[in-house]
Order: sequence, then structure tokens, then C-alpha cells
Amino acid sequence: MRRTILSLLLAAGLVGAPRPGFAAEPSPKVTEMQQLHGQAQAHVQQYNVTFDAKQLEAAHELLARWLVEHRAHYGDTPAAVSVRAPVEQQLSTIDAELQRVGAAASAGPAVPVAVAPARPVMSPEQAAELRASRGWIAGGVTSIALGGVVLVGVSLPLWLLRERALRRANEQTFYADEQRLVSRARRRQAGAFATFAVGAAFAGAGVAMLTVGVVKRMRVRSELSWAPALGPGFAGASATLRF
Amino acid sequence: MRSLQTTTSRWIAVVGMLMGAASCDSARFDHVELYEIQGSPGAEISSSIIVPQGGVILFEAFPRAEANSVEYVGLERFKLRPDDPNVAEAHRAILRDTWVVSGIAVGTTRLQVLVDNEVVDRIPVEIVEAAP
Repeated sequence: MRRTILSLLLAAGLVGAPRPGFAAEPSPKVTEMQQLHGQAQAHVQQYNVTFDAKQLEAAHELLARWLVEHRAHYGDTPAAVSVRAPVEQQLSTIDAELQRVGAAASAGPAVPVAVAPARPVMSPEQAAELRASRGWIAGGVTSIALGGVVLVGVSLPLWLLRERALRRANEQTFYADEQRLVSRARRRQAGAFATFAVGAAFAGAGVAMLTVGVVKRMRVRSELSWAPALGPGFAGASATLRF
Repeated sequence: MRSLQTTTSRWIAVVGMLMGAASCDSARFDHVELYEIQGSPGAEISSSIIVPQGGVILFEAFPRAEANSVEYVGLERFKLRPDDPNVAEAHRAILRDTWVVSGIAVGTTRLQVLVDNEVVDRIPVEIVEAAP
């Protein structure tokens, strides 16, 4: 791109110079325009070397002034227009280049992008173990939930009903009435104990399954967290940490 | 949020009670409290139960657990039974926690205190001659 600009600018510089044939003795105005054009081309040359946008801006300003002065001095005759055409083309090229440079500057300096190393590839055994760990964890959570439902939904109400029956038994006057409520409390207590045992067994099994699953998953992840890394001009190991 | 915490606390307490009830030892008997309600002339409760022959005594009986064990909750099977039914008899009355001991023959015996079919104490019973 820059090579193209350079050639275009040089071409414009060659054809853009005022033709000496307009006057035998250049007037001061013509001399001033020649100087403007020459300075503009010098700035363009500077830009081609330094890539300093200020040089290009200066060239742009000088060429714009040259066009205004040229038009004021020579008018819009076909000869004058044909002389200005390469300069106008050069000016539009400079405009485009200035826009390009401005956009690049607003995007900020090019920062080296840190490319994250690709995640280490899992071996089939590790994938199988990870799948198994998911199964253990899902089973554990289900079992804990089931145990919790049994404990909360069955054991707890039964125990509360037992307490209620005992409280009511304590309020009775006659032995027969008391024993009827005590028997009811006994049944509810037996149910509460039985369901508590079932719920606790489910919850305990769930905790055990969950532990197994988590341990398996942690083991796979710890195996995956360190992996050798190789690249052009680089060799080492990468660590993946999860929080 | 507060109700959730209350529910959680209550749940933890109930689970604790259930676990405690399931795992800890039951109430340990300490003594039985007897409160006389009514009786035949000469019948009384002191260091022993004294009943005249042919007479009765009506009393309330409450088993009490040791101070360092859990208290009886009411689900225990409590019973009084004489060693020698030829001297005295013991029966439940229709009222709750109420018992009747009747004197059959002059003599002494002991009233077995059973909690869940286990004899935990014996109360002396004396059947005396009925006053003329």
C-alpha cells in the first residue's frame, strides 16, 4: 500500500509542477505557487521515509493552498484544469492515506495479543472417567435430594404428629383415652424412625456418591491442568487453573 | 430469609431429636412417686403402702427418671404387680396414672414396678388387720 502511494505521489509530483510556459518570466505569484508545490512534495517525501502523519497533513495543506492559488491565478481554462488534475488526484490520495493513518491511530497501538494455549486434549480414559464422575455426582445429588424429601416430607411430619399425640394423651383424664393416643404416638414414632432410617440411608449414600464423583472429577482436572506445550520457537508446559 | 432460617433451625433441631431418640439411651428409672387419692380407713402411703385386709387404696403413680437421663415421655409401658397376689392385688383404675391396691390377706409383700416389662423397683406393701 505504501509503495503504491509513494509511486503515485512521485508521479503526481512530476506532473503537478506548474508548466513554465504560462509566463516567460515567472511572476512572484507563480514563484510562490512553485514553492508551495515543492514544499508539499518535500513533505510527501518525508512521510514516505518517516511515516509521520504530520508531514502528510502539511503536504495536504500546502497542496490545497496551491490549488486555490492556481485556480485564482489561471482560472478554469482546460489547460489550467489539466494541470490541476494530477494535484487534485494527489490530494485525494493524501486524504485517503490520512484517513487510514487516523483510523489506525484511534484503534490504539498494536498490542501483542496473548494467545491462550489450547486446552489440553483429553484422553479417552480421562473422558470416560469424567463421564463417570458426572454420573456419580448426578446420582449423589439425586440420592441426597430423595433422602431430603423423605426426611422432610415424611419423617418430620410423622415426628411432629407423634409429639401432638403425646401432648393430647397427657391431657386425657381416662386411661383408655390416654392409651388410644399413646398407641397412635407409638405408630407415628415407628414410622418416623423407619422413614428416618430410609432417608438417612439415601442421604448418606448420596453424600458418598457425590464425594466419589467430585474426587474423580478433581483427579481428571488435576491431570489436565498440566500439559506440555509446543509451538514455533517455544517449548514448555502450560498450567490450567480453575477457581 | 428469616422464616427460612427458622425452618432450617427447626429442621436441624428435629433431626437432632430424631437422631438422639434413635441413638441415645432411653430414660433410666430412678424412683416412683405415689400420691394417695383415697382409701379405706387405715390405708395410707408412707415408707410402704399400708392397706387393711379387705380394704383398698387409690393412688397415682408416676415413674421418674434419673436426673442425668432423659425423662419418660409417656410411651413407656408402666405397670405395678404384686410379688404375692395372695396377699395384695394391684389394678389399674379407669383414670390415667391411677392404681388400686387391695388387701387380700394379712401379711407383707412387695409391689413390683415394671417399666417396659422390666422390674425396676419394688415397693413394700403391708396388709394389716382391718379395724373393728
